[in-house]
This record gives sequence, structure tokens and C-alpha cells, in this order.
Amino acid sequence: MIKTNLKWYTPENFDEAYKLHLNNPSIMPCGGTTGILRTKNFKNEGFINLKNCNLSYIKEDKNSSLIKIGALTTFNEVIDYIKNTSYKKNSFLGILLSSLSSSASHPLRNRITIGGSLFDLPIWSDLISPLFLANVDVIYNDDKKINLSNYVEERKSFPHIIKEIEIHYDEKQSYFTQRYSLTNFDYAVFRFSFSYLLSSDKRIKSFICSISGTKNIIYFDRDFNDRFNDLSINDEEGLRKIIFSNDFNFSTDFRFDAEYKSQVLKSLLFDAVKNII
Amino acid sequence: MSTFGKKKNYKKRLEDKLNIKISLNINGEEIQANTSATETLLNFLRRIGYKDVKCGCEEGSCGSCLVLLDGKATNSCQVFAASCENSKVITSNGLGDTNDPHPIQKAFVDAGAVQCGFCTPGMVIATYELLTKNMQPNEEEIKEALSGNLCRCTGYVKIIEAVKLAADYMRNTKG
Ligand SMILES: Cc1cc2nc3c(=O)[nH]c(=O)nc-3n(C[C@H](O)[C@H](O)[C@H](O)COP(=O)(O)OP(=O)(O)OC[C@H]3O[C@@H](n4cnc5c(N)ncnc54)[C@H](O)[C@@H]3O)c2cc1C
Ligand code: FES
Ligand code: FES
Repeated sequence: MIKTNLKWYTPENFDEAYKLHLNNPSIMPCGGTTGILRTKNFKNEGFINLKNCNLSYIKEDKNSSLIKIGALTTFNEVIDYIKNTSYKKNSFLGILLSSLSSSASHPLRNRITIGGSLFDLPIWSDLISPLFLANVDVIYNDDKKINLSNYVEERKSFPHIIKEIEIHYDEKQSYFTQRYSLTNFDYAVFRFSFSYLLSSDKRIKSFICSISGTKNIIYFDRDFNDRFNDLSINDEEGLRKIIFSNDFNFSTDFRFDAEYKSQVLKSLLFDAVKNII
Repeated sequence: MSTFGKKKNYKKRLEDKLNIKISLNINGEEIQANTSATETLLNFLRRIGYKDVKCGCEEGSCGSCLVLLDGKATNSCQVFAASCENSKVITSNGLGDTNDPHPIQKAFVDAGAVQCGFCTPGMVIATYELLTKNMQPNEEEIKEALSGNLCRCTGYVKIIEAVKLAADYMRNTKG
């Protein structure tokens, strides 16, 4: 649909950009525009091009396992950055790399941004599940901070522009992620990720698990995670009971029944925890 | 109203809405043209004559609309033209044409990787981005670089061969 009354704004810096948006939330910030152009339902009054706002960067402080990613950084920029570090496959950066690499297609990953993806948060997001395993703060407007799970719930209720995300990950944990989709290029039906430690007597410690693609986009339940703690890695029955008795809260969509998704997830998660840990 | 009248009316309405002037470099030429706030780069390019940029799905899924936008393979249907002020766009014809084909275009012909040809401009652009970064890609890397390009005719085998051949041609040209 072509509209005449929409305007484009290209502010000179981030301060100008978020103030423009706060003054009129109907002027929407643009990331890679892949989400905006999906709906083509332009009810807004204008667009903000963030290209002059210096939001494309990755800064890492290896000593404190902290990584800061600017909102306009694309998935491919994150992928290339991680590939050039000495990451381990089962580290946080390792699973972030494999998650983002399996999203969409190479040219789309040249466009999709971290900020746009977090705000848009499609049910097939490949970004969100790994992020829930770390301690993530979303920095927006005049350096305000909100933690990721609050952001996911509240993001549509307050005008803001994301500046960057700060990821604090635990280097001692081992990480794993897996995607379920019909074909490689297809959207993810769901993605689960988990991290854990093992005690010297081969018991699971500090288990954290998150699943995207559920009814509320992300499933993250501390009680569910706690049930794994102290479980012996040889206790297959205990593991089966924890996973198969849980309700992961999927919804039925045009392709799959909620029950089908739930059963596939349970089988894949059970196999992964059994084989990986 | 006759179909012609309707078309004329649509053209007039469209022209009224093309109220944003942008300057950008397309295939080495400085271009100034008008666009609307919501026109995609794909529709903009085709409207001003760059018909080698193909319109397939307009959803980001098929890759037929790929161009190099500031050096990166980009689905032009996923970008607003109005956001491309001062950008550098290269379409498949900007790399080479029938008289003076780019080694990638030559390789696609030589390998028999073109049937109907609809996907070819997008394939060429995706290959170009890959080979400018990696002159000796393995099959996995080729598949990954072409992951956003669909072809309904060839079955991909000859396309992958074409990319390998293009890499040979480009290495030889460089050497
Ligand atoms: C064909 C196709 C397949 C895809 N497959 C996948 C996939 O497999 N996995 C996956 O993870 N993603 C996938 N995506 C991407 C996903 O669907 C969204 O399109 C994408 O995450 C949006 O990111 P963007 O940077 O393009 O955001 P935009 O489209 O630019 O913006 C989306 C929303 O976020 C807002 N926004 C943008 N930047 C900011 C900011 N800095 N602060 C606050 N709000 C902001 C915008 O105003 C808008 O409301 C796919 C997209 C397409 C088109
Ligand atoms: S037309 Fe752009 S990806 Fe299909
Ligand atoms: S040659 Fe026809 S779509 Fe690829």
C-alpha cells in the first residue's frame, strides 16, 4: 500500500532519535526492516532511519564474560565476529553463533538486526532462546536498563528505542541449543537451549533451559529448571519424568497441533539432555 | 472507465505519492529519482528501469530480487528505497552484460546453470558476495551463501558447479 503522509527522519545521533520517538511514538525506528515489511500495514506516521546513530558494534570484555551488542548490529555481523574469536562450540558464544547461523538466509541475515529482532520477537525467533541462558540487560533511550524477561513482557507498553544489549554469560557453564523446523530454510517451529554444570559425582547443577516458539513466544520456568538440579546423569527415568510430565504451553497454529509440538519437543529435549550431559 | 483510463489514473496517483527525492549510485551511475515513503527498493529499481532485478515472492524468501547494497547481498524487497539515500547499489547487470560478462555470469552459462533464468540475477549477486570474501569456497559454504535463493528449474546441482567454476575463473583472472 502506498501512503503519502508518511515521513522519513534521519536523526544525526541516538539522542535525537529516541527523543523524536518519545515525542511521537507513531514515528517508528527501523532496524533491518524485514519485520516492518512483513506486514506492510503502515498505520504509523513515519520512520526513523538509525544509520547515523552509531549502533552497529560489538564490544567484548573477556575478563568479565561480558559482551555488548549495538541495536543496529546485524545477525551476520555477530556471526562473523564470533567466528573470528576462539569460541568453543559448547560455550555461550558457540550456541549464539549456531542459533543465528540457522536463522532465515544469508542475505536476510545481512539485514536482520539485534534491536529489531528483540522488539519484533517473532515466534520463530532464533535469537531469544540462547539469550535467556545468560544475564541480559536491554539498554534503551537515555541509558535506561531493563532485564530481558521484563523487556519481553513489557516492550510494547512504553515508547523506546533500544541502544544495545549487555550479555553477561557464565563461562563455566556448558551450553547447547537445537532448532526444530521442517527444512533448513523454514522458520523454526521451536528452539530449545540449555546450560548446565556437572558436579564431581556426575550430578546436574545450575540447569537453565529456555524454549522459544511456545504460546508466549518464550518458555522459561525456574521451577522446571530446579527439578534437574542434583539429578544423576545416569537417572534416565528421573529425567524422563521431569520432561514428559511438564506442560510447555504450546499453541496450535496453521501447521501443527499444540500437542504434536509438545511431544516432539519432549522427545528432542530428553534425547539432548541424555546424550549431551 | 476503460482499462486504459484506470491505468492512467493509477499512474497519476502513484506520481503524486512519489514525493521523496533520493540520490544513490546504481551500477556506478549517480541517480536522482523520486520514491514514496513505503516503496521497496525492488519496486523502485524496476520502476526506473532496472528490470534485471526480479520480483518473485516480495517476502524475502526467494532471492530473485538480490542486489548488492553497500557491498552486501540484500533482498531488495525487504528494504525501503527511501532509506537508501547515498547508498551504492549493484545489480546483476552492473557486474557485466552480454557483451562483457562477469566471470560469474560466464560460469553460469558455461556450466549450464541457467534454464528459465528468472533466479539467475539473484544467484549471480549471492555468488559475487561469497567469492569476494572467499575465493575457494567448499560445497557447504556455497550452499550456505545461496541459502536464500530458490530455483524452480535446475535442481541446484549445476548452480553449485557454476559457483565452483566461477571461483576458478576469478582466481585465474586475478592470478
Ligand atoms: C523470509 C524471512 C524469514 C525469516 N526467518 C527468520 C528465522 O528463521 N529466524 C529469525 O530469528 N528471524 C527470522 N526472520 C526475521 C524476523 O522475522 C524479523 O523480520 C526480524 O527479526 C526483524 O528484525 P529487523 O531488524 O528487520 O527489524 P525491523 O523490521 O526493522 O523492525 C521490527 C520492529 O522492531 C522495531 N525496532 C527496530 N529497531 C528497533 C530498536 N533499535 N529499538 C526498538 N524497536 C526497534 C521496529 O519499529 C518494528 O516495530 C525472517 C524474516 C524473513 C523476512
Ligand atoms: S522477491 Fe525479494 S526475496 Fe523474493
Ligand atoms: S533457472 Fe528457472 S528458476 Fe532457476
